[in-house]
Amino acid sequence: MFDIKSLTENRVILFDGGMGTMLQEMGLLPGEVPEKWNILYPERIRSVHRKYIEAGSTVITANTFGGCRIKFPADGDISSADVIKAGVRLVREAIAEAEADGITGERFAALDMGPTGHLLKPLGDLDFEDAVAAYTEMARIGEAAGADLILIETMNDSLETKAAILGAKEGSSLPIVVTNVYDDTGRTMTGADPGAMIALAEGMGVAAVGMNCGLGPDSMLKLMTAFAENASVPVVVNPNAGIPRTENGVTVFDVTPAEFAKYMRDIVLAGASAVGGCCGTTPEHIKLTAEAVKDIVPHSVKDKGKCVVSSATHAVEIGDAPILIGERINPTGKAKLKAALRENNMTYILGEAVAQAEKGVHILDVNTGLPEIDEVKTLSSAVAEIQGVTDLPLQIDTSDPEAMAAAMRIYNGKPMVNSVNGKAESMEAVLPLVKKYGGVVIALTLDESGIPETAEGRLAIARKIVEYAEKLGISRKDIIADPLAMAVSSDPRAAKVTLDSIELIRRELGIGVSLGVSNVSFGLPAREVVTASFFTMALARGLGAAIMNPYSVEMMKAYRSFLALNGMDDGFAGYISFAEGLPKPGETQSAVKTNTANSANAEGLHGAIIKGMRELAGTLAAESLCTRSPLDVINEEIIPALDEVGKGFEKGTVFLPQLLMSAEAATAAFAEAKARIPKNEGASKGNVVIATVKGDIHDIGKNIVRVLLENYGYNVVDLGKDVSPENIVTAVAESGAGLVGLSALMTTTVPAMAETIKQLRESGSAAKIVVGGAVLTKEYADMVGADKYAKDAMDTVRYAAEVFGN
Amino acid sequence: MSVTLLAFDANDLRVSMSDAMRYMGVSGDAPDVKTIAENLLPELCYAAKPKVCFRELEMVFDGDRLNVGGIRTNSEALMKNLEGCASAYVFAATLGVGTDRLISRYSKLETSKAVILGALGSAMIESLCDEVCAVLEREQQSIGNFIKPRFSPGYGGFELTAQREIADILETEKRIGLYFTDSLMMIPEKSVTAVVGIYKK
Repeated sequence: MFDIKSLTENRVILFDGGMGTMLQEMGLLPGEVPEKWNILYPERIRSVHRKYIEAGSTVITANTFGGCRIKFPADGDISSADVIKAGVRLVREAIAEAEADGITGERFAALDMGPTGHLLKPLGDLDFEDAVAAYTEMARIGEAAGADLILIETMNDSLETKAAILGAKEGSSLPIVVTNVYDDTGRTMTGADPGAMIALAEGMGVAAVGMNCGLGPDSMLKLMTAFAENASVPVVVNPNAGIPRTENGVTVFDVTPAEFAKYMRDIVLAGASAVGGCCGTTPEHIKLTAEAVKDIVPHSVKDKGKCVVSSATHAVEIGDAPILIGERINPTGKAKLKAALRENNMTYILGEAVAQAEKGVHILDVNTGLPEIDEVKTLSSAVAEIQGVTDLPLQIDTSDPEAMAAAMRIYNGKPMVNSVNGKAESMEAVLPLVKKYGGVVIALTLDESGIPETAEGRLAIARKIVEYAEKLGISRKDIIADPLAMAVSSDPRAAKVTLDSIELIRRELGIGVSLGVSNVSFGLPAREVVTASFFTMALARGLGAAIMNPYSVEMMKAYRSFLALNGMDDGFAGYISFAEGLPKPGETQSAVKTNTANSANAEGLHGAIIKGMRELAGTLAAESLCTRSPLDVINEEIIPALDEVGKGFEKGTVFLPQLLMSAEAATAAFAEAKARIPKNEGASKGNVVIATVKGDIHDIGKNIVRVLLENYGYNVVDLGKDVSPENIVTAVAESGAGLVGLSALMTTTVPAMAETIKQLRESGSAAKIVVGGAVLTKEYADMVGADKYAKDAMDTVRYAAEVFGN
Repeated sequence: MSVTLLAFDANDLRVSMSDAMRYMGVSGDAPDVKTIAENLLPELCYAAKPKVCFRELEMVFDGDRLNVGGIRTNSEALMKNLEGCASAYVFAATLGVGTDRLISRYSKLETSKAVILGALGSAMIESLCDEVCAVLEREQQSIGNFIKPRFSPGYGGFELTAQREIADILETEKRIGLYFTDSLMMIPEKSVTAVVGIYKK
């Protein structure tokens, strides 16, 4: 069995070097698929393996890098499965032959899994589950063929890395080594730093992490600190032999084997346990490296004990300096958010995410639990959408294990999970998910007998959860206890017990503690005052994270002051910049707003919309609504202003960005008005389904249409981009839409538009169909069978009015 | 002839504000839009990671067809453009996925800014292509040759499928993170592939 930790306890082990360069020397042509040689020229592949064995490699990598079924050409007589099987078999044969020839030493065959060649959604067009399925199949075939480990390498996207790890876990029980590609700024192509990748990979239980390709050994040496400081598993480093360049018509790599070996020695001294090479490296590079590192005992691999979660770009540690978790994306007690969830209005939710991020929180809690909606679907889609607009790690907050599993699975990074408790049922459902997908889980100190009244009782439950988790192989650093802040108004001792629990749990279990602090003031007047004081007290007792309202100035005052007073705010930079944003004495917040807006104020709400001033439009609408009815404000101010801008756009005196700025200002004004309209009044003018068709992955144009249609009072069901005809047909049937808007940007996706229209007609839908997009013309529209070609977004709005007769 | 890689700092690229305004359909005076564009430019520069790769390919005129290193076309406009050339560069340039992420983020929250950023991105990739051609020109001028204006697939009958072939030759996925969807869309969106003829004296 390949146990890299014990293998590298006393010595450095060697991976092998480049395969592509070697095959090119043997006649592989540019554009030829290297994996096919496993079948066509097995002896050549075996000979490369043999050379690396002789050079001193312990891990021999099968020639299966691009063998996954998504990347491997489907045409021809050689299948993906056959090259994977043959690839692993050739390594096994090379190892057996070497042993027979008396070359001693322990050696392992690695199934090599490289990228699929597609970028995953939402940036690209490959579905996450399709990627997982392809890697699962590859891992299953590789294990059956005799691989000892899986090497996931040359990954430049964190989500694809996660898909590959998941595939390796679901398709096999082999140990996994993951190495990513970084550029010289220390980030992957999609923006992750080593800390983020280490958190993700270690959270999912890989055996080793590291880097390969992209950089030469000199640049990788510079990135070693990040690995040495953060990795709790052995670090593997496989650089290129520098950057390729042309010399007299011949491709050469600028790092010679001797120079390479010297750098690799430094990389080992900086903390790597296993080293090898990537593009341009040869058996000579490996041989000299083996000699250079043979006397070095690698750094001992210690669990760094850090409690970290991550996003697609960075990791956040819940350690000594306390962090904030924004609580605003949770429908409990929030009418606007409830409405947004019921209407599947992601824009509102995304706005909350960005606004909280701007307030300086470190993690966002995401809870979409409402009895009347499908939480499994909504939570996952909210998580994916929020990750599209913010780089903050998320806390997946649900009591439904199925929704939790679905969201953890597609989450890009290592999530925070809220929550598990001491009930057997909860531990059995939640903790295996943490083991499988990785995560830091909040452990509520309650169980079948309720919430203990003493700190010792809460400690006992926290301990029970930690022990259960450790039995599953989850490290206790990934558990954060929540000793539950209870309403002090119903039990005067409640706050004290919670505060004592923080200290006791930290001391006894050595794990972090988090609290949802607001509960403490339930039932009291001026709650913020009590909550903020309690927050300060909890921080002083060692609270590591708080789930809180970042819009509460009192809470932020408490937090910023605590950091400043506790020596956790370098140069008071955090405190000073926070203090600068506070209202000056004698100045109220609304006064600040009104002052800056005075100039445009004179023209009122109408003027604010025309000029596209979003904040001012919201403020002025709120002011108008104190004296006038919502419908008056809408019909006499907002709509006429919008009409004026729309007409200007049609005449060519107002330009697209200005039209949109006005629309956004109108949206802010509408939001104020709508919040004051009783339900069922001011109903929608009609349902419209819009989508960018299958194969088309850009959707600015479609989003513009949505913003305007919503402004004009239509209920828009926005299906997003790259939407299959079937999904559009279903959505039209479910919503009873009277109008469908389809967008296509490329001539290559116009056929998908035609297919969608065909299926809509065949389904018997009476909905009118309007089409638009970069390449569309009246002729194309007629050709695909649309009812209307809209040259721009206003054109669609006018057509909607015609279709719905309003 | 191997592939050469270049990386640029987005802050060093000259982004033409008048081009950007034109891309968003602004034909007259719109100081409000211009101010927002100027304020957004640093965000774009922060998100963009301009990368380029190129290589020189042999070229053969074969009757009414042209073969540039295996890329075959019968685009008359391209043949006219490459007349008298014995080889050509193919290049691929991209601003990177960070730009896509930025624009997509705004398109969900403030569509007006997404439109403005999209136009700025288009202006920036144009500027990047100009920089690339300047590099190629210097390379050829040093040995006494000239280069022709760049020519991209999708124009003048030069098949859109050629951009995929250029990308395969340059291994853009691995080298600069330029991918294609099955419907031939480029990811990142702000990317360009092109052919540049080399005219030898």
